[in-house]
Amino acid sequence: MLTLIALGVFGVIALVGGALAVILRDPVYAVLSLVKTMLGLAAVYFILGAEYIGAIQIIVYAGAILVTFLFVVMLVNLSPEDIPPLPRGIKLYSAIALALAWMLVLSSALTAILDLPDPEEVRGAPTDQYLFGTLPPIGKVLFTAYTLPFEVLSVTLIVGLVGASLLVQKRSEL
Amino acid sequence: MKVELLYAALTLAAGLFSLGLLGLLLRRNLLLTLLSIELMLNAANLNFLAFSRYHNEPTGAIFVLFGICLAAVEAVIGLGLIVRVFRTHRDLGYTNLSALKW
Repeated sequence: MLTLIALGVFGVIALVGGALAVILRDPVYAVLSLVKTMLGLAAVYFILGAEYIGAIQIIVYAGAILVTFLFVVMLVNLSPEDIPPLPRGIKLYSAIALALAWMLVLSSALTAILDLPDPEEVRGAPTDQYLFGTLPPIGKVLFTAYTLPFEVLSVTLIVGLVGASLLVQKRSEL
Repeated sequence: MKVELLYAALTLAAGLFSLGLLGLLLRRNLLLTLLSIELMLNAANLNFLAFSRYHNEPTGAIFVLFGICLAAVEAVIGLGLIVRVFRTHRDLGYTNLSALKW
């Protein structure tokens, strides 16, 4: 029960951050409220027992990706006046209606989840200590079953690095 | 108990995804669009982790790891494109981006 309450609290924090990121006009504030969302999500990951992924979420998302966003906001000198205000009237209401309808469809589909059996009742309680989110089981699977995707991922990172530096150089031959 | 936890996490992910969708529909700016996409990616990651916890399997966490790395690459490429677009157009609203080649 306590787990559920904690998940609800941090989930609401994450949702408020996301809503502010959508509503706020100043891009710096929008990025910073997305940082709040990421921190709330990291807390949710901790509650779900995935400590390693929660730490990665804080370091990579809140620490690296969103700071890069902030750098670009300052690099292109984006002020609140450059951002067009939210559309009014029919556009605003139809967008909200679409998002709400999507949420309704998803949550009505999700109620089927509550009928699922508890996996511990089906397969019995796990014999080993519950450790799935810590580093050893992740490393074991990552370097046995998923070695090739892991290596391909490093190539992808290099491609992204080279591509980004090619994109932003001043006089490229593109 | 675990089922309720799964349900709560998936509902939270659905809410985050809907917010990202709303931002994608409402904001007329390349940078804020990319921000909304990050929100939707995070909702997908949360789904992976919720099912990973439910089945007591570390595989879902590995997909989240891959997802975060790919989100980093996507953000870097997207921001590079944004800087480039800003240099040519002096503007990031995408209503007046009509030419593919400048």
